[in-house]
Amino acid sequence: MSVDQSTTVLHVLPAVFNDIREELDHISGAWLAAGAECVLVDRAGLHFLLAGNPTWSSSRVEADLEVFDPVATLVVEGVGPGWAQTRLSADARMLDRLATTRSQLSHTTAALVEANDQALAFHRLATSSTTSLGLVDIMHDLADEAHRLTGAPAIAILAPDSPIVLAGDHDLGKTLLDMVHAEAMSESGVIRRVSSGLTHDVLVTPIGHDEPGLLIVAGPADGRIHSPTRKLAAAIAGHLGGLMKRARSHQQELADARLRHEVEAASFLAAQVLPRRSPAVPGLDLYARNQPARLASGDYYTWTMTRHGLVFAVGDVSGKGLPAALVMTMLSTATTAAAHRDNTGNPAVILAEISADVYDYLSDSGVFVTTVIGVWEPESGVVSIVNAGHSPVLFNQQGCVEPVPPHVPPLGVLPDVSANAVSFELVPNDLLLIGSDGLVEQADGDGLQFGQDRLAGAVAANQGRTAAELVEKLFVLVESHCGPQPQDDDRTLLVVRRTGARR
Amino acid sequence: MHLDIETVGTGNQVSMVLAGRFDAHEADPVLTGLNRLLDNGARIIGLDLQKVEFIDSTGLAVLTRVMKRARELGGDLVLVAPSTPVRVILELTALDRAFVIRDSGPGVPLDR
Repeated sequence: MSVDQSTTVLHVLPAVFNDIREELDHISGAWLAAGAECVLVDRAGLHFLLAGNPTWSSSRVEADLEVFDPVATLVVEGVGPGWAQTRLSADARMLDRLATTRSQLSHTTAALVEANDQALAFHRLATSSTTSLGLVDIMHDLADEAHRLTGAPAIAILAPDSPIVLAGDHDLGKTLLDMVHAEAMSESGVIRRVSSGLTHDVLVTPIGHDEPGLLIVAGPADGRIHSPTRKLAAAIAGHLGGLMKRARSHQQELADARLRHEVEAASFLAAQVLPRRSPAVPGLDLYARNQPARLASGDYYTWTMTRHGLVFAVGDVSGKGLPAALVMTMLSTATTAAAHRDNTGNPAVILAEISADVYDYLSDSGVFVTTVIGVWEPESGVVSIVNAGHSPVLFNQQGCVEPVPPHVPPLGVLPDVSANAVSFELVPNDLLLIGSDGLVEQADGDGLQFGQDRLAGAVAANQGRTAAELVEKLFVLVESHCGPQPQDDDRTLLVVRRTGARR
Repeated sequence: MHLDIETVGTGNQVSMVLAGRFDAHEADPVLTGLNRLLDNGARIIGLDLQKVEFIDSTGLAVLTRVMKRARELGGDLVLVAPSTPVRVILELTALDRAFVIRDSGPGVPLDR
């Protein structure tokens, strides 16, 4: 090596020597103490002063630090060859080894940091299910994590009914996606495509858990997608499928819950048309109860005082559940309105009025309504009723229980419901009982119905009880007949009983 | 527990035979089948109820709907030989007064 005095000497050592900077300083100090004039590093024609003052004397020794590329040369001036050369060579070998060890150490550290990053990414992947629930959010999270974990330049996730989700280099992702789109939908594996003159492997992995969709991993330019990446992609796709399935079922649960809530609210509102308490009518003991088979009832009862006396009614809309309950509210209202419009005191006229109001509506709805309308005149103590296809209707006259058969078919069957009402004079303890078919048709475990006869027998056996006691007693009997069976149909019972009191 | 539905005959007069339980679960197929017969030009439909063990209000509502539609078209839904449980329900609801009921079996020409 030739050094002339015009060579510039730099005082700042490049960062590449950082790993051995301290040792270089120590060694240089030791050479000065041993009589050397200066110590420098010569690398690619540049001179970096470590210690002393350069004299450019010809008395010098040199040794290469081979670990650096380009090679760096340690130069010590002012010492002769021989022992100094031996020592400097030893110094150089020691520094070489040190630099190598430290470089390996920093690589290992970097790898550890990288591994730690990956572990964190895996952790995020595993916990992503608890932090996000939207489908597209999950796809974005997983695309980002796939990008981080695989180190692939671009990631795309395709799923039906969702926008394409990209991570990493969006433009590259889109370009490659356009190229593989058609075939990616039908097959999985690695496809090779060229973008901007560079060849990319594109890995297509179906999303797991029977979720339709694909995870697309775009490999590095002119590089390959290797087995670990494929395994990683398969694991991520499987995880993604599981999360998407959960998200879908969660969305379905939310929708179901909303619907359930609306049905409950509508059922509650429909039930509000039923009277809350029995009216106080001198000479009468009144009680009624309704128990729906489902949330909402298609049965109804109503009572109202008019200028002719007490008008009461029980009705049963064909079918059950919320649809029947909606028709029920209409009928209950129409009955009360017709009762107040009426100026005859004749239940058959009220029935015809109701029919005129609701016949077309019932025809369009495809349902019919069985009903009993009754009018009690306080002055005469006479109750008149008309029965449109309803059962059971029982009259307990001085302990003799007789059914009151229907006079006309239910409302909504025929346009004409002309009928003659029947009248009974009630003496104290006589009663009229109007149930719904859900009581008598309730089957036990063997399919045997509670039945009209059993009901009539129970009414006769409970002579003298108040209306409330009788209704509750009959409900208990039907309940115990039913046993653990589900309730077949809505149950309604209204009792009008004559008391001893006179107005 | 289930309902068998069979259609006999073609043209203006046809019969449908039901066997089993005619309740809310079976209402839709019966309604669809009967409406299809009306759509295809049948006007007098005989509905054989001899082998129906049970009918509920939803089943009765289907019969009522089809009967009203058939009458609007100038025809009728005729109930044929209803079984005892069906006959009891028809009497309890006074629907026996709304329907034409015949005792003749399926396949026998119906006259009104």
